[in-house]
Amino acid sequence: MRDLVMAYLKHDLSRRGFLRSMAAAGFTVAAAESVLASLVPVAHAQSAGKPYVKPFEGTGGALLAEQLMQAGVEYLFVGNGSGLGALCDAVLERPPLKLVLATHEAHVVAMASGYAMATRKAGFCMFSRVGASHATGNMYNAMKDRLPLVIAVDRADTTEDGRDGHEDLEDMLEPMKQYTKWRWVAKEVARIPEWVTKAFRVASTLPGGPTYLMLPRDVMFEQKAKANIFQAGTFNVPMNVRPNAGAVEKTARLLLEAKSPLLHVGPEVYQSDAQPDVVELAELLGLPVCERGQWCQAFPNQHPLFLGPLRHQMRYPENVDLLLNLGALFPDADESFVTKTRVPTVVAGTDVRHMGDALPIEHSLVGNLKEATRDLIDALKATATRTRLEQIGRARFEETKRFTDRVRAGREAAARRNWNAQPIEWERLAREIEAAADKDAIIVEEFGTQRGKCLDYLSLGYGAKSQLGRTTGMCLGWGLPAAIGVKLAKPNQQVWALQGDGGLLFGQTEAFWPMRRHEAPIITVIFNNRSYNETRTRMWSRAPLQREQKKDMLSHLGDPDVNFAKIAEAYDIKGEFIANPDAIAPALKRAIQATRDGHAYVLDVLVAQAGQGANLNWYPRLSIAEMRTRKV
Amino acid sequence: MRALATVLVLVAVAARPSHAWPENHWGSQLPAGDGRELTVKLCSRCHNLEKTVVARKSPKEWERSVYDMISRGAQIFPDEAEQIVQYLSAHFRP
Repeated sequence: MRDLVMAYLKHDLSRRGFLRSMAAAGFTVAAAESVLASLVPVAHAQSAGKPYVKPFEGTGGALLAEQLMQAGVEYLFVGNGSGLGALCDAVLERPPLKLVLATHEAHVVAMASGYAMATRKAGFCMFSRVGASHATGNMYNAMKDRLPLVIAVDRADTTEDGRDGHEDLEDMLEPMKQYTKWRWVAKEVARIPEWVTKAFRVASTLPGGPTYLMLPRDVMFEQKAKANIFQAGTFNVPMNVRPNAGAVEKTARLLLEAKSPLLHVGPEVYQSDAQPDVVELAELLGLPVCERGQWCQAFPNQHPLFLGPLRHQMRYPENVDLLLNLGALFPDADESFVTKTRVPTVVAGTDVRHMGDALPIEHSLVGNLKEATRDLIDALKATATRTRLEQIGRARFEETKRFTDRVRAGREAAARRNWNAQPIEWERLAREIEAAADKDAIIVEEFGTQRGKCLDYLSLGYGAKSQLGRTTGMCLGWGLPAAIGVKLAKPNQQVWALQGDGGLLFGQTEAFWPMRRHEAPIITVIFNNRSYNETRTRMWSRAPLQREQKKDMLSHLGDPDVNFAKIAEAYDIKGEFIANPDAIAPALKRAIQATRDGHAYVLDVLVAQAGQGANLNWYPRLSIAEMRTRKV
Repeated sequence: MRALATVLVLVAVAARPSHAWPENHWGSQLPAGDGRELTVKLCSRCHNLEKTVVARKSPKEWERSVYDMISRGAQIFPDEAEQIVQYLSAHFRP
């Protein structure tokens, strides 16, 4: 009880959460309410004496650093740039702030993204304004993933900006509009704290998204600037809003009356920390669950109720009569059976701007998904007897389990067919990783359409390994630096970066630099099929000349045949190349041991191509050397 | 004049671009045979059948493709997979 009281007084626990936790600890409702009544005046007294702001005098960079500390920032993901000079001076005097340096701005944003995904807290990064164009690929990814990022860059002096001058454009803010929730140029030094807190508030409030601050150099280097620093806890607006009670009751009734309801979940379930609650809801009613492969696996993918992605036509359940969509964006709904067969749909979450896009909705539960799911469970239990709930839930659970057992048997049979094949099959490599990895390992993944051949063979989601990535936006060049941010956030959990060779070659090899510099013990496994497998199969499906003439115009990567292990070694990271399936398990052991010793490790594994044009290895050759008439 | 307009409308409809065809158009291109119905029903749950109709593969290649789809998440049971492989091998060989 002591811990609960402390949590309540520190505002880490709501009134409702306090009462629920007390009940879980065995206290009666009356006793819990009595304790709460005695605590309320204490909590109010604490608030009354709380200093909301604190005066501070220093440079613009110091003001920024002070406000970042109050925002709870510990790590500053940065790229090189002289515009960071004032901030670096401030960091020197503030040991709690630590710099995490990457050599490319896209990697800076990806590291901050991985950190934000793993912690569910805002990540802060800063780099040179001219590097911002490099960063936009992963800013786009972060926007698509609704990630809380605060991105800062420097800017030309206020006396010179807007002239298309040195390292400047007429409007440096406009290109960032699509990639950010909010953007601003902080031209007055005394207002830096105000704009920094706004950037954190806007980025962190669900649905999240990057915010972008430009900090002119003269503002950052201004001396003896006076400002009030907003103290911790005074600028957060948590979206722990409960949905409308009437809508909750209506949804509970619909769920109880439905013969074949289906639950569809998305990343907001993870972002709201609602995973255990959603599993409880699904098990209570035996709800089959679908989840489109997005940047995290919210529902456990090996659970008997888990069906995989929502399909345009469902094999099971066949006649869905209610869809409950918890926190998943649904942009292709117009192609779905849900729209075509007019399945009544209830949507829940905070992303009201996109709720119901292309999807006629029965009604909505606007609010925090943890709160919404808890309310829904309570309403179901209040509406139906325990016996009725068991009758509904058990029958559907068993029926769904019979279906998913057969699907998994088919998948297992598929994996075993080519178990010893060379090149190594994805399924074999995935199974070996599943066997070797810790149960609570974090998988940071950036694959193409073959991702199911790996992820479906791993145990992912609540209660198992965590999956972060691939980004919803699918702009390649994210995975390795994101894994560094994840490892920084969760240093005591095993982190695996699973990459395709194609994705890695989108400018990611330099990410071995921060991986080594910051001694991030990460196991990188490259599923190297020497091909952009996805684009080749897709293009051949719709481009008859390439298919008929067997020409792989864009996708062959095997010439030059890149040795990724050697690239890793160039960064002082040990790597090895694996072509034999029996060599996988011993190599994984070596990799795990290396990470235990504090070192990163890279496994470059030759895996099979698949689909149309597989193993053709033809490409349109163009040799500049052969063009020469002078051998220079 | 009205007859001419009717003809023009008919020509315009006939000349619709392929992307305007309904998605089950490709399914209708599959020839009759044992396993056809299963192939159309199960494969088209995830994708239209354009890539199936235009492909020409040996039985071994079809087997690989079908099991590759299962590994990627296609909800096809082992006994059904064999029927689909046999149908595709019989009708879409090189």
